[in-house]
Amino acid sequence: MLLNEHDKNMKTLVNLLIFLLLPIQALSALEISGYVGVEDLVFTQNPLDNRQHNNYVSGVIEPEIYHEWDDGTQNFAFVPFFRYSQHDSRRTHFDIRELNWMKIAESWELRVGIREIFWGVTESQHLVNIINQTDLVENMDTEDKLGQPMINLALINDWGTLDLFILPGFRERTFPGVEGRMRILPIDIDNARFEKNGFERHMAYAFRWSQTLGDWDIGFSHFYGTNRDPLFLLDSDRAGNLRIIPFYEMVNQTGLDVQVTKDAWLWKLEAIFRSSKTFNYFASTFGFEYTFFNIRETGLDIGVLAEYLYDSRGRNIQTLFEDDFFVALRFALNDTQSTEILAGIVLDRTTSAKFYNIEASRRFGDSWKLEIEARFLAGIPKDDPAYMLRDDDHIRMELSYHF
Amino acid sequence: MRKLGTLTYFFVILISSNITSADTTDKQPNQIQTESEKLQWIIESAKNSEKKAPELNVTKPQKKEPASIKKNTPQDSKLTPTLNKTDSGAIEKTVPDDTNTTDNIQHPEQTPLDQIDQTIPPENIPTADVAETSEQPEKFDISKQTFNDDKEKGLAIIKEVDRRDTGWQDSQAKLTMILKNRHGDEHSRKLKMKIMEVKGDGDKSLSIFNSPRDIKGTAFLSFTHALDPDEQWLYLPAIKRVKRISSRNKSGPYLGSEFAFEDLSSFEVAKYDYKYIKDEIYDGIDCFVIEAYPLYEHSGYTKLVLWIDKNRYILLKTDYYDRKNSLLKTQTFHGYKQYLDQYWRPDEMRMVNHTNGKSTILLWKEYQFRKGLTKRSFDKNALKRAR
Repeated sequence: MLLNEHDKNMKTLVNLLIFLLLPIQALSALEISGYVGVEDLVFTQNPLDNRQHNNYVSGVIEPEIYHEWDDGTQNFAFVPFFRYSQHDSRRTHFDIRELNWMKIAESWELRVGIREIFWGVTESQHLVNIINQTDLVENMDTEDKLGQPMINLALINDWGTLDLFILPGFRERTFPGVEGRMRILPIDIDNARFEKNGFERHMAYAFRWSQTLGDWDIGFSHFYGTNRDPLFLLDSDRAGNLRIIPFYEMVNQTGLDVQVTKDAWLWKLEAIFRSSKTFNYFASTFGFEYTFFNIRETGLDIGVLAEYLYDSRGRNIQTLFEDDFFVALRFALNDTQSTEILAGIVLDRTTSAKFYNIEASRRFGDSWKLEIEARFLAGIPKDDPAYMLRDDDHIRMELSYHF
Repeated sequence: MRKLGTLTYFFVILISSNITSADTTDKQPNQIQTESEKLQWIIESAKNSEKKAPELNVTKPQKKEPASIKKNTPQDSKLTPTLNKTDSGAIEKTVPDDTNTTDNIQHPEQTPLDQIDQTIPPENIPTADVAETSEQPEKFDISKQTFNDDKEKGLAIIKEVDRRDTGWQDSQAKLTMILKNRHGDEHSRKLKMKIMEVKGDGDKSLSIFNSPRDIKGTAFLSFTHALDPDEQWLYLPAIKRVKRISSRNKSGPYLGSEFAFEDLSSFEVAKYDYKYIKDEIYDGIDCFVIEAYPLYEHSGYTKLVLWIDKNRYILLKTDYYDRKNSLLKTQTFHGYKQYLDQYWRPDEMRMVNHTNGKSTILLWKEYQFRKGLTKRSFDKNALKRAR
């Protein structure tokens, strides 16, 4: 294979360079890894706004520098991130995903610095996952997060792990710019509003207790601080142009996440109660994942996923999933190239709006990876917040080199 | 053009990191033509990885990761009667199986003069001698016991295998997997494995993937149980997510290799029914041949045929029979070395799939024992930061 040839050539080149760079390597006991990639984002329909484009090429790099010492009980990690995008100046962005130090003891762990935390069990959305801000401009699937400064003390006992968080430094959500897609109006992030300003805006506090009890994995959490999810206010600027302004309230959010693992069944539940000045509401995602393993001894696994998404605010301009079903199939070939496909639909029960999502990935050679994502919307009514994305069906392809 | 400077900088990072990950050996497995070259390559990699000079039978202090012993007494001294003698340092003896090389010897940290490494050429392994020199517990003598049937005899042999491999407390090793398809294409995976013995239950294990690089940092935590379902979690570093996963997937391929999950999970006596079949010379070594029938649910096999070295009580070969009871795979074990004066570990395992022509080679190196791993080394917090 061509890529294998390339890998061999790279190895030869690397072996030659070892002699030249050996002293550098010896000086730094740092472990360096990461990836570089090129991405093409293709929109299949013409834009609603003639300042937008149909094709965006971009490049990304995310190296990781890691060092551990003291017999592995202390470590340091630095993960900067940069994407350069054609056309959309907001999508050209830099972030520090991680810059932290960790100290590990038998009954506690202290983690200080910029980090990313994931809480939760469901697949269609991540309600309880509140610590980090979403890097929406990076990918509209909301899976990418901005680095969050924190002091996190984990107390580890037989009764479970209790994580305590102090989160100084609020991060605003990223949005596409004027020339970017997946927006109806440019979001005026420069005029974002906040319920609290100064110190209070920037501080948040949280805890999470988590424990495994046999087949049950349980997490219970509470968060107080500036909401990571902004509300959107429609406004007009001095020249009379309409604009959307994000508004960040203070919220209290209590969350529960439970997964019960029985044989090939994963039963999942996430539930939150969130209160702010504007809303007091309950939201939940629950469902299952069942996997048929090693079908006909081919190594192929097929998973069937079904979840129900509920939001007590009902049909509302601020929420996308208030009474929706999610069904999906996950194919894992378990081959040498780790080929995986996830194909799903979110169906709005009241409006019959449909959101199709297909994600596929495959390794080439030993170091290259190709990811393809396709997202399509159908039947979106005019009063649904997703209506602004009705002409933003797209395919995203990223080829990355991992080192 | 202003971007050029930044790009050059990124390129430097890319190259230097490649060096960190590059193999220390010049020769890659896919350049190797013959079996002897292959062996030479394995030996070279082992030497290079341990940064060791290839002198013969020379004892010298070794700084890097010796299989040293902490001075704690084994929990059950009846089970491991020879361990107390080894407090001064571990010795390792090399019994090459199908090679004539004698330089692949690991040196302990401080070896007393009377415990110099021994290398026994394969053609004269007088089996009683090995048992004598390795100071194995010899209370178990199969010939002096009577059994009602072959099931009882098979179980007794397996129990002895298990008894001799009990008491190592915890171990860790680095592993390279070489995946070959029938066209000769090769892919490799590098990982680290940590295992802790759990008294009266299955082991806890943590596997940390280092390559292919796109899954670097992915880690797999498993609490094995004999007949209850195992508990398993997977950590996905790209999204920082720990997922509890179903452990039903016993027969599926591990990392795309010819090893199934059940082939790599910890051995528990209660997982199988046994039957002694016969004695047989395998590869010049006197063996028991035993059949094992999986008792746990969802196994991909109807039976395993095991070749067990009569003297060392270690596994030399396994034939796996699929659900249709036809021969599916053969696993062989090579380059056994003894650690802590008791526990035998192979340097290499080969798995050949007879139906699809694919094979997988596992190369083990840098075995370490009794590093004081605790249950905290095998929890979800450890999983998230595993390297």
